[in-house]
Amino acid sequence: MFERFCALLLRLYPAEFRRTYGREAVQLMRDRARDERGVFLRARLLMDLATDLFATSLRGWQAARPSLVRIDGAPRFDIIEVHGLRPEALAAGILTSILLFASFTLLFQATEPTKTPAQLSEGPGSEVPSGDADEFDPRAVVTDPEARHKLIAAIALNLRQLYFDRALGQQLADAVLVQEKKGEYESLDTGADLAARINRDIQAASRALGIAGGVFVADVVHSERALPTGPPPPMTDEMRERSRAVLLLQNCLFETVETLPHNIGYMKLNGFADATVCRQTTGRAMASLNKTDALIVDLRDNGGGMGDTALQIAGYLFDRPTYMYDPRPDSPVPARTASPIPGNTLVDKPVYVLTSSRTQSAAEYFVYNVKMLKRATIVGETTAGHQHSGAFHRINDHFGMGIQQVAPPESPYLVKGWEVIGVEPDVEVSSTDALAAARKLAEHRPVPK
Amino acid sequence: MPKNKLSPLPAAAFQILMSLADDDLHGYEIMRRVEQQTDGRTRIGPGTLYSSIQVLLDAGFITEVALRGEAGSNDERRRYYRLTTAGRKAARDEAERLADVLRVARAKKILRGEYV
Repeated sequence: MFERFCALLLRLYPAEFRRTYGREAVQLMRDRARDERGVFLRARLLMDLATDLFATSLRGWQAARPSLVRIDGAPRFDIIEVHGLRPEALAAGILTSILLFASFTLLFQATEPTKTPAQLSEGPGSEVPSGDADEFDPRAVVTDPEARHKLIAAIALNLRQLYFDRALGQQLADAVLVQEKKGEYESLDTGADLAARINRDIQAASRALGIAGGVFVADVVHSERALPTGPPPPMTDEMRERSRAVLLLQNCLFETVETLPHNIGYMKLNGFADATVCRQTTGRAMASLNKTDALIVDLRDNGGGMGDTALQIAGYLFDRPTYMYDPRPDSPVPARTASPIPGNTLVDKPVYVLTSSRTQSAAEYFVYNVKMLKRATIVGETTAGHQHSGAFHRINDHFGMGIQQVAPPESPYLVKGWEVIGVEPDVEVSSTDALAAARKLAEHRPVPK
Repeated sequence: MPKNKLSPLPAAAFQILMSLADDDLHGYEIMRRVEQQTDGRTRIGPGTLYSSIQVLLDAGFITEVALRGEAGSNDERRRYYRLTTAGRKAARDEAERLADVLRVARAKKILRGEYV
């Protein structure tokens, strides 16, 4: 009976909390109820629960577990759904707390109210509009000042409440609102233009606030197709097997692996495939180029993928474990290469990496690091400038934004990252001429003494 | 680099990190351990406990270890949490910060004695 009452009280917690930790919370109260018997202890338990419910309802629950989703086949963002504070839960929490406090104060005059521990979670986005499609018709953003203002207010609120440095987030939000007030967003024709303009303003404000170029801050995204509302269903064994078969069929995205005249190794890799499936294929590709005198790594059509595979390839270029900077705060990719790799002879061979404006994400992670480490000559165009290191928040069907919600690791190099600015080539040529240029460089490389 | 929201470490987060210094614990054990280490002054409710745990997970200060049931118990499988190296360092930094506060308090004669 008592446990059921506790379970009932737990139902008053915010929905996101119940979804994420509801089972654990019920178990915790069941454990306490088992161990704390007698009128006084039971009353204290209820008092604790009421206090906690009151505090939790006031600050809301916004720390939903990030979950990975794919957006239009692009590299991954973390999606965190923003849920508003349920008014009925807040009202019920306040009412219950008042009633319980009143009852127990009368019953247990000597009982001191429990101190609430310091609050951690200042839930973001409680005022963020719900993302209702009618409220956020993308065409209305262009034509309807009120709808546009709501969108910009939601973006500013996200900056203020979600950017990991609250003070800077406040100033970034203010900068966007100032531009809105000046009418800078009124003459734009499309959602894409609006997103691009706001991004430029965020970038400009970031520089003015002393945030280094190349560091990801926030990025407003406009999508013609409706953005997904939540994470995809978990992969079944069958889906996993099919994905594995497709990757192997595509040679793990290695388009070409060959030895060119003058014993120059050439590999064209159009994505970094899942290392759990492709580790052996990658190893075989690198082994097949092991005896070449120079190596060209063609990433012109590489849109990114899994950092593990990029790290694996980089491992062949060094003679010792080498740090590879990854801007993602909780990156699953190890920080260092697995060098030296037994039998590998590429460590002292010249390396040329081909880039284009389509080279992005994990491919830029590879390019940035080998450039900073002065291990390769980059030939081609400046890369796309997409770190994909933030968490993505859906605002409505067509707008969302990535935000650096957790402080990123700091790059040890002078250029602090590649967001927006991309990675500049050492030898700038159009992407169509990059292979010829790299071959010429490789053929005329200085002969080691 | 600007400071993040766990610097300085909030009291509940600090207590949770300290509770995990010796063992992997599940939610209820963390709550009990915090109660013990604060001489019963702090009992963390489920909302504060799990929101703090979520923030600490996000910051990489703790990690979830495999679900498991308690030995000799029919309880459901529980989530256990483990202190990471970064979490241990954060707890140490916070302890040192508090020690500095104590040193100042003693110097100002607000607090007496070598140790508290």
